[in-house]
Amino acid sequence: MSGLLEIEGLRIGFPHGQAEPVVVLDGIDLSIRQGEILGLVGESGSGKSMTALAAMGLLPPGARVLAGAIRLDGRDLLAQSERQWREVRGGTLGMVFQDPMTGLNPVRSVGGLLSESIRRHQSVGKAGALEIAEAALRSVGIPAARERLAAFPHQLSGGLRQRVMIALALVNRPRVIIADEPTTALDATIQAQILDLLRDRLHESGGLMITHDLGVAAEICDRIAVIYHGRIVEEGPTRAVLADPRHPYTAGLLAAVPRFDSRGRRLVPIPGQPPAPTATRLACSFRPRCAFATDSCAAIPALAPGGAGRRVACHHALGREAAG
Amino acid sequence: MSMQDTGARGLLPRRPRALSLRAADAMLATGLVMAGLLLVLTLVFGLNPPASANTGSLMARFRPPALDGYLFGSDQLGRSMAARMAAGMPWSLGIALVAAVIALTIGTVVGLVAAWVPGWPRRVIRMLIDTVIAFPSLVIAVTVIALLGRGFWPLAVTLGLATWPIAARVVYAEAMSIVKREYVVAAELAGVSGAKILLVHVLPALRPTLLTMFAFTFADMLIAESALSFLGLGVPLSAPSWGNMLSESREYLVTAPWMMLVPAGAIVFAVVALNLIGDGIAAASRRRSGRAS
Amino acid sequence: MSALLEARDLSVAFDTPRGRVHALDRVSLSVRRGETVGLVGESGSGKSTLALALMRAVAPTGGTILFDGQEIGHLSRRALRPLRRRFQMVFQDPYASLDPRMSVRGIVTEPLVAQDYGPRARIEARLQELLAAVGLPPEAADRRPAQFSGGQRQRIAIARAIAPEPDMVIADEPVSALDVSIQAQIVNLFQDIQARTGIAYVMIAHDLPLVHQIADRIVVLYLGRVVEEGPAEALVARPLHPYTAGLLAATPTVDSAGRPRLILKGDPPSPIHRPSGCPFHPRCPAATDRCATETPALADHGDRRVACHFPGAVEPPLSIARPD
Repeated sequence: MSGLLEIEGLRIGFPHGQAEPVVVLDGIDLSIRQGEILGLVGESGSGKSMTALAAMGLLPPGARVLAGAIRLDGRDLLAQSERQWREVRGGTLGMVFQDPMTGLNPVRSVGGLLSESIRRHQSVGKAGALEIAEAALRSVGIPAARERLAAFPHQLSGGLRQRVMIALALVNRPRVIIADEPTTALDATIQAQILDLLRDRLHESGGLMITHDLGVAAEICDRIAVIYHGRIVEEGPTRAVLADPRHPYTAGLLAAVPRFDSRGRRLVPIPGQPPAPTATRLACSFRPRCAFATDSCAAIPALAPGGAGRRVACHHALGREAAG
Repeated sequence: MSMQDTGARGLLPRRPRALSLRAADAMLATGLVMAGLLLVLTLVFGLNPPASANTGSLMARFRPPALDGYLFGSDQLGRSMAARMAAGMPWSLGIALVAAVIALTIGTVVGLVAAWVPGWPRRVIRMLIDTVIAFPSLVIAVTVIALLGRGFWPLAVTLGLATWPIAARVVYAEAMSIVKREYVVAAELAGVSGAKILLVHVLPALRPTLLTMFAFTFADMLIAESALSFLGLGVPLSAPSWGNMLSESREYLVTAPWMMLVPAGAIVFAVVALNLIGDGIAAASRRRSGRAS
Repeated sequence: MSALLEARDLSVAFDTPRGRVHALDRVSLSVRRGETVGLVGESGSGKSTLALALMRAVAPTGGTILFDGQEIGHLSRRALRPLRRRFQMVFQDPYASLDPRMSVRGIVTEPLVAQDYGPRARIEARLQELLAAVGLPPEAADRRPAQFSGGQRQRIAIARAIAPEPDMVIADEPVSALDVSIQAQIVNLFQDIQARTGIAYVMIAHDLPLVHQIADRIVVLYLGRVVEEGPAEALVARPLHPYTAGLLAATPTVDSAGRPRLILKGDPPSPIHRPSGCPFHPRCPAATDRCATETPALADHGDRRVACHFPGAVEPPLSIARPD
């Protein structure tokens, strides 16, 4: 399997002197192919944002990569110096964050932000950079692009700011774009606009979409990986996973979310609550909340292939094949 | 159902902030040690005076500081400076303490009420605060002392009355942000009375601010007492307040500089101690609120 | 049947440095005993202001609020206090709405003590009853909010709201701050309480499937005005206002992938610069010249109300399968 972005056995923890490090990501395997959007879906504290931060070389202070590799186009990102990271970020690796207000430098104009990034990664002059910047704004559907170059982030609406951030992520023709909850802060109708834009533009390269919202993932992702307590519990093509979930957690999430056809039926919540990200893993992390748990769940299940491009980490995987 | 897991439910383990954390604790500790030292010094000198603070010996005038019994030297009447410093502490610190308590009590009540009542009552209170602040406090002090005479209580009350608006303004600003908090709104919507909300929800949230402000106001009052005494507007001349001692030292600045250095040192020492305590409390409460959010 | 709560032509305006903001513009709304009214809208729609105005946390600048026949829109703080027992509120963020210094006992019994519910023993008995009703163990009473997770805190907030046996609870986005797997627990709790006590709810949410799940009627707000109102099922199955249709289409759901799309253009305008005529006309796919000049009134349409010159002009973009 040769992916554009490959994350292999990624283990991240917070070392504490002599003691065992507190592990927050425990062996993440993900691969994004050319033209594909992978959705990494999980709740708060599941490790989905930590995965994205690791792939962008932006781990919080104290966090260490304990094992594993992250490769972009075959190039080992984790072996890079900070200087090389700066070349990659905004260059071959585009980034979109949840809050454009913190993702965009407030004292730089939109044109300034874009041309700075263009000139760092491409050999063009000032005028050429501004021209590329204007085209980039137009390509993300910003009206009156030339005038917007002079605007500052705070002068734009939330939707326009997010478009600017996407333009910034795209402007140097990245190989992969990582989007961390890019629509969570937006209103529904604006979210729909931005998802439409992301669907088109992320398919041109490759995309890793971090979200807590299965609906958002369903809208634009080709494949979905569900993360729970720092481990991928299920992965596969979006429609297959959502229509026929194999992991009890995925199935539980789907039953817990209200849908337009669930009125009149009682929602089925997942009992209890997610474990703390820092809790140690002695058994399947979902075991205490799982209706199917047995004694065999005392062993941590591996993420095993389940046919049709799917993988699931469960001793009691649900679904047709498992049942039949 | 586990209830203890919530501290770590944030996405990332808390960023190490060891340095600022230790610095804050160090400040608080240093301030407390300094304040303790001052108290011990006073007790030692006060209970076991090398020579009485008020009855000097003309044989021992202008003794420079030495280890022979006049540790901090003696003054123009041969009184031990160390004993006078100790004797002055209840005056100086006492006046400053009472003044700070008066200022903070009035300021807190007025600030809280202003933060709770909207409309014209708030405008009237804010105008009152601004007016009193705009009034030169020295003029207030001179007037009150002219009316009441010199002494411990007139001075303490005067300083408190001149200072409360500053406390009121700080409390008002802080309380305005607290009353907008959702749990305060929730209490009002639950039908709790205004007075009870201020007492149960707002005042406890103000505690770190009040503690910090108390330390700083205490220090300010100490300086103000010294300044007024220095100008001859403070306590009776016979009282060995630190300000009076400073005032007396003026004439002997060249011949006996220790007469100035001892009270000035005591004031600076106490002020620094109080400011360290105030800063320490402020940093500690910022830390706690950072952890809570 | 007379309404429990009846707001007529309710307006709320704020003076800001940038001008007068009409957060609510002549909103009429009624809540019957025991029913659930869902309020949906995007930021700037005024839905949270409406909640605070109905709760009399802000004073309306126009219109009336009748609660059980009594006008409360212009009562003073003091005069409102004895009435507050009958309508209570649950806030969005259970981290902000509970005093961190208080024990759960103090928080939950606060409205009871304030309203002279009875002697100490009776209040304590009620506290235990409430903790059981919201699914918290008795020993929770002596703990502080910091010792609980978000979902458990929201249970505490709900216990406080229902403590004085109110006729109505207004909940402002009560589950949107919670993890997906926890949301369903809280939604079910709200429904269980209603089934037991016959309480009426006003549920404010941006999440249409959620509102559709629990509300009897839905009120759609846009820019401080009611644009559509009707029974939840009919409104979702066949929206009459183009904005409702757009909002429905914009809602990402797990079964929505690949459906025909209707994406509303532009941002919701700011309440400071209200468009002329119909406030929605700049974004409306069916707008005509008439919409730019003439403000449509909220008119009856069978058992529904809609403020549109061309109700039903924009076809619903999705067919919603409902179980029969």
